Amino acid sequence: MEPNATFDPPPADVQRSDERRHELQRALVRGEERFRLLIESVREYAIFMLDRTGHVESWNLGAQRLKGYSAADIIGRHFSVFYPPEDVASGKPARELEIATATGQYEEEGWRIRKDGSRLWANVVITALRDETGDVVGFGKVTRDMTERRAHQELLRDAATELERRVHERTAQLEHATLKLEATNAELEAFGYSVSHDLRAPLRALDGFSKRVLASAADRLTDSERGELQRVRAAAQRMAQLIDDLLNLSRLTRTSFEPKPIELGSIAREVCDELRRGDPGRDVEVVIDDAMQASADPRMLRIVLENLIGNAWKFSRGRPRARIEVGCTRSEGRTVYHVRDDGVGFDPKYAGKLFFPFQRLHSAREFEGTGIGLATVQRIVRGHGGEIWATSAPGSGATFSFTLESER
Amino acid sequence: MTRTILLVEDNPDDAELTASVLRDHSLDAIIDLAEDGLDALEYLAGTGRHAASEPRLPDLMLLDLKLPRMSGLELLAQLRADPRTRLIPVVILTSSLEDDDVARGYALGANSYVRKPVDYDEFVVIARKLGEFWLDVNHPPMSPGR
Repeated sequence: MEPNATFDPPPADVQRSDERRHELQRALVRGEERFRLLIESVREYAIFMLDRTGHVESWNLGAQRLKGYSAADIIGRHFSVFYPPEDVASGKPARELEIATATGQYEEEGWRIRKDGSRLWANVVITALRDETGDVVGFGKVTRDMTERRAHQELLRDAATELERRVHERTAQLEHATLKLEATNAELEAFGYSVSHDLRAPLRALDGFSKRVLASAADRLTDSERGELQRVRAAAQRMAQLIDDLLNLSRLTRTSFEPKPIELGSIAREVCDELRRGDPGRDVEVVIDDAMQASADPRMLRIVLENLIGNAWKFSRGRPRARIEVGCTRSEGRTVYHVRDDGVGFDPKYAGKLFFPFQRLHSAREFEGTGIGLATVQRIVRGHGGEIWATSAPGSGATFSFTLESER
Repeated sequence: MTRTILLVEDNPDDAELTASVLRDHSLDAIIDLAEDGLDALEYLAGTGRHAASEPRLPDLMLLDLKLPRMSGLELLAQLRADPRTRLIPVVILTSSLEDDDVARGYALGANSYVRKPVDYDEFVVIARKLGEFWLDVNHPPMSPGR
């Protein structure tokens, strides 16, 4: 450099570079100021700095909101004031700084204490801050309040636990009920087994020995004595029929139905033919819709038709020429089957009683029967998801109608 | 040749009625009686109550199902497991018409299943048919015991 040049103004490019440096410095200060303002104004996160030993150096709006301390309250105090006493006692705050120092960062969720002593569940990240030589100069700490989320999670967990408990409870109840039902079924089955094996033997003795006395002492018995022995026999046989009907009814509850497409018309015709063979003296006009189809258990539907057509046959026997009609109609998307006769009918006010076991609307003297048939029919129809009902007026015949599936 | 029918029946009334119907209507067969499954096995072996007589193989066995000590089905299983008795015609003659009884009876090798009716007149008809078929019409195979 030349000696006289000292007082010369600096060259233009040097002046420009000084101006730029100042401008950069101002921009840097402006940037730091803005950054500080940004941090300070964050409300959702507590963001603050600790010195190397854990004393609070800076404080933001979020920290004030979360922890309840103002900057004046807290700056300079040790950050262990945020921890529950048991954590402080176990040296947790210092340990967290050690981990952050060793690994660069420490993160956890745990309980912290607000200024007012209340607890908050916080997500905490502590980051070690280093100078250019790598020495730790302090820590940045970001804390987020998770209390509400934790409460929701706990609520969910509680609800799930409660649900699980209820499922367990209900399952246990169901298992208990199933066991009880199985026990009841087993008892019923044992009862049915005993009934079918043991109850008929005494009746056979009544009937058999009565018959033998009738045969061996025929010439010594009066007409009325013979008649009484005949009544013993009839009673025994009637009782046997009752037992059979009852057993059939109880067997139905244990039977699973296997529906398949069936020609109801041809089953009805077979049933009618059988009735005609058993009672050839009767003049009965039978009208059957041969196109009648159904989806049902064929064995069970035969029992239904045997009972309904059998009843029609029986209760129309007072007619010199009776008429029985078996058919079906479509109504509201379902098929309604019917068996109609022009027999004695029944008083409609007793229509509800028809389907109860042992309920009879006619005396045994007028019409024989055990009163089980329609109960059996109803059980089968309901087993198929259908319904059965009857309409009549005394002296003007009866119509029994049934469906085989629930209304769609 | 006189044929023998072994009736296995525990109810004395039933036993007497059945035996008398069979005697009256089953040709000239001898009707022997066992009270339950064990008694029937002893009859076949000539032991126990039947020790005084020779072991015998009947031409037909009529089995009730529900019996004390050893049921008709248990007896049937033993008869079919023993080469000496496995070919004896066995007709189950019982009160029950339970599907299970019928199915198990046939599964264990019963030759026939007949229900005892309460009506004595019906029973007479059935007994006569049984005797005629199993003693006269049916031709059994030669069994080792015969």
